[in-house]
Amino acid sequence: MEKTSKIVVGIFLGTLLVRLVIAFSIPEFTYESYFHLRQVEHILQTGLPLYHDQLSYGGRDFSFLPFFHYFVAFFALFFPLSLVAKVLPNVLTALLVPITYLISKKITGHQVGSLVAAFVAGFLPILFETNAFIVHTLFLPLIFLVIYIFMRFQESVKKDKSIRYKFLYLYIILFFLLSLTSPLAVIVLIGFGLYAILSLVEEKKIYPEEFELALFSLFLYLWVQFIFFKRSLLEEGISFIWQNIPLRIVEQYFPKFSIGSALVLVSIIPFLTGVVVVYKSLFKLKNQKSFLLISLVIATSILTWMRFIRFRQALAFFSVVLAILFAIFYQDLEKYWHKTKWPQHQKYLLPVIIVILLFSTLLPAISTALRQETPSVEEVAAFKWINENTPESATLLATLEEGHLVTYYAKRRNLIDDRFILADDVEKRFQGLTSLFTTRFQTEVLDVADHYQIEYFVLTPFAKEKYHLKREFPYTTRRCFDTVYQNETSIFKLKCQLGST
Amino acid sequence: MTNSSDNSKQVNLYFSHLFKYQRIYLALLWLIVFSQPLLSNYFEEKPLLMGGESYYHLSSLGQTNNFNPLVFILNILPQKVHFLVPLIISAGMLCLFYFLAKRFNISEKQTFFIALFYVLTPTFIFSSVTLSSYSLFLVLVLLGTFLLLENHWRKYFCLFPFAAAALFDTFSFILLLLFIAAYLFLLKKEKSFFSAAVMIILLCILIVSVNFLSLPFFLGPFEVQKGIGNLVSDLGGLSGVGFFTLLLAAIGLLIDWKKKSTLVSISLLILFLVTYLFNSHTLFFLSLVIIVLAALGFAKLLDQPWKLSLLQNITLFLLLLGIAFSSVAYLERVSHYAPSKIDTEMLQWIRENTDDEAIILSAPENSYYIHQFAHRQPLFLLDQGYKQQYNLSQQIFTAFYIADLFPLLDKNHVSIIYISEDMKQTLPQDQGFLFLLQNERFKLLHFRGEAEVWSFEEEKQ
Repeated sequence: MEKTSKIVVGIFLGTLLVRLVIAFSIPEFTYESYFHLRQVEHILQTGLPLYHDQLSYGGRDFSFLPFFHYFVAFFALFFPLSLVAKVLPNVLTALLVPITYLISKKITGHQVGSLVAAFVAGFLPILFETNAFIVHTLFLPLIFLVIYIFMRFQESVKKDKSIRYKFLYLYIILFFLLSLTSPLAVIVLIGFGLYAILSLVEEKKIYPEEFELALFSLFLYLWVQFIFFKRSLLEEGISFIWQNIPLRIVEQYFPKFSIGSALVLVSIIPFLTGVVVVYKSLFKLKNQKSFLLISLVIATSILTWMRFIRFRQALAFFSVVLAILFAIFYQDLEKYWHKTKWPQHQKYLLPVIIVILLFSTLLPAISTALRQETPSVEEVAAFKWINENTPESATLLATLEEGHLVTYYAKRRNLIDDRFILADDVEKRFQGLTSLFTTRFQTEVLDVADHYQIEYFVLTPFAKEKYHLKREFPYTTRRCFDTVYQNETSIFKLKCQLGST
Repeated sequence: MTNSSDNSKQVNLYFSHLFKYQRIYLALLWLIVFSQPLLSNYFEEKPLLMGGESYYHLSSLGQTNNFNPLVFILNILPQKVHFLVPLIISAGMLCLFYFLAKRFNISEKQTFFIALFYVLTPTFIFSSVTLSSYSLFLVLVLLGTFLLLENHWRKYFCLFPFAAAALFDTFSFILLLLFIAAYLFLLKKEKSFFSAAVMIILLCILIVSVNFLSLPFFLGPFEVQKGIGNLVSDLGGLSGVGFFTLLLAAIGLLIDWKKKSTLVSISLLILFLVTYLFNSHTLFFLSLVIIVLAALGFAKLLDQPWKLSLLQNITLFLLLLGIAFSSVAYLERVSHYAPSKIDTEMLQWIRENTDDEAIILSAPENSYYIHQFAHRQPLFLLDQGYKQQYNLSQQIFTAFYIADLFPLLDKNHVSIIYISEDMKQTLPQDQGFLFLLQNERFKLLHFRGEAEVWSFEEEKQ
């Protein structure tokens, strides 16, 4: 193994090690993860994802792309799911290190710059949600692998046609899997479109093969999405894009772009250098090699601005592109240093950059990882208690985030969770949820609880913090509520009905 | 490389076979696709004809001041065979299209794909169970054009179908005039007596129709307009075109963007898009332009030598699959559209058990069914002042308080309310109109399944 490869493997292993240490030091997963865990478990039991769920929203249909769940289920055949769910997402995210290196190397041809870029990609704060068992952990390495293979295909078309079929087949397989992983694969397609426009404007040649591959990708993507989201499209129409998210929390999912949060989540150095590189590539150097990446950045920005992509997902993608572009910045910086009066001090450039990066990326990354929102062991114990001590048909009140804990650990019906697509009366349920956590009036509570047949009210420390509740619900009087579980988390059983209090 | 060129040859072989026997395959496909909604309606014991427009025409039968050729045909035919009219119109359209394509030397490939996309497009599938004026208009235009291409005196016969085509609405007639003028003066560059005579006669008919026959500028709309939602069938539109067809049309335009004909296509697209936004009933024409462009786009993709022939084959296959899936998905749901069996039974109950003069309140889409099955006056008639009718329906169905609702019902002399199953599912139950039905001025008269008939009592003085 050559030295550079060893360094890349070293960065990969280092990143993975840090991630795994943090992942195993936090016992639970992020709230959203439990939905995916349930899906994988269902695949392991039945061979199929859970497209009709009796528990979520008291019974509803799901529509989602299943590749991630099958991919994990495959590994879970050989290892315990709890282990796979902790290790695999971290391995996948750490794989961004070699992929970033390969893409940076392809664009710049600069080894050191590419290694630095790989290091940046390994410790991007926004990707340091080590306990997130979510689709994005597969989507990100897959999309960048697709981009890399596309670049290799471009290269083979221009230079060595004999190997183009190798990359073509690889691209077709990977893009197909990407389309089966996340609808966000559309970023690549819009990126291709913008790349074509940029190349036309700058009078750079686009080979027919590139156009053909882009056209093929477009129809393959649409076909896959059409098959899996046919019902959502028919039922929700064009608003399907906004995933049926309740209006009151749309802002939470699609917040306006904030430079402050971008600086924190992407980290200041890659963000600023990325902006400089994009500016220079577009308006000064007109470097076609970086056009594809810049097109992807523009595509993501447009989609985020139009609120088609959630802010954090966009920023995660954005941050890896910026890490790749950091290689160009490093290369330019090195060239510039040569022209200064102190070229003999160039040997200090790399250590200085690494020290700066360590402070500006690694520390925020670890801080992000430690601030992940996961349920506590005690909260999970409460949900497990419900599974053992309540009737199977019971419906539970828990926060929106805890909805998947209700279905995963308690195995009971929830009022609402964050899978909004195809769910009925989301707005009303969300309104009901908010009033159950904020109202002081028992009649209102009984009305909503009666409507959704809610029997158990779960109040976790997380819920208390979210709804600013000091002790417990203000309406849980002894006449109407039995406290059936009391710890840091309290569980109340509703005894009354409206009209019988 | 050898493999891929072999693949390409194999695919071309399939297509050559398809083109050679296209009439047989298309006839079979047409029969399957277009008869499916009819059969489904028959087995579900629903009325065979669907859509507001069908019942708009049916309720006009026997009116002496209605000059619509479709109503004329329906008047002649026995009621039992009315359901065959859309199928005959559609078959006639396809046959005439094939005759004309041959006369205009349109390639077999393009002819095949235009016909194929016609058969697979929801707008036209829906027209197989709808008495559609614009379908008949198109048949008459095609027939007129066919006769126009004849020699000597026979070409004068074209005036009959063209004159008949002038009796639907002013908009379609203006389109016809533009089409004939473009054909005679721009394409054929004729300066004969015949050309002048045709134009003058048609202009005279236009003037007479507008001034004396009180033709509407646009027919319809007969459904609530939902903007872009009705254009794309995959987004839940009542008809419209599929995503893949739309994309192919865009590709058709992009591939030929340097040609002069693209300018004509874009102009037509813009014209029909604007008219569609103004009146969604003109979706028929917009869909027609889109399927022609999509067919040309597909033929181009097939003809153009791709560097990666493997990708070409997969892409074309995916496109055909996408269009076919879209049509199948549409066929699955088209039979769920109103009027349902329960609708007809409830409306017949209204006919037998309510006052002849009663004004019936229901969703605007049900108005034409009320007219036909209940023989009563519906409150809304969307084709007569859409905006006012739609706004009034919104005010009534979104009213939160009886203080807002009752004056509207009193003012419009509403005495019977028909709540269909669709309305029960779409209107909120615990607020708004359905909630207000608890007031004592409303009385439940009859119900079946989820459908209900209520009376609204006059205010006691």
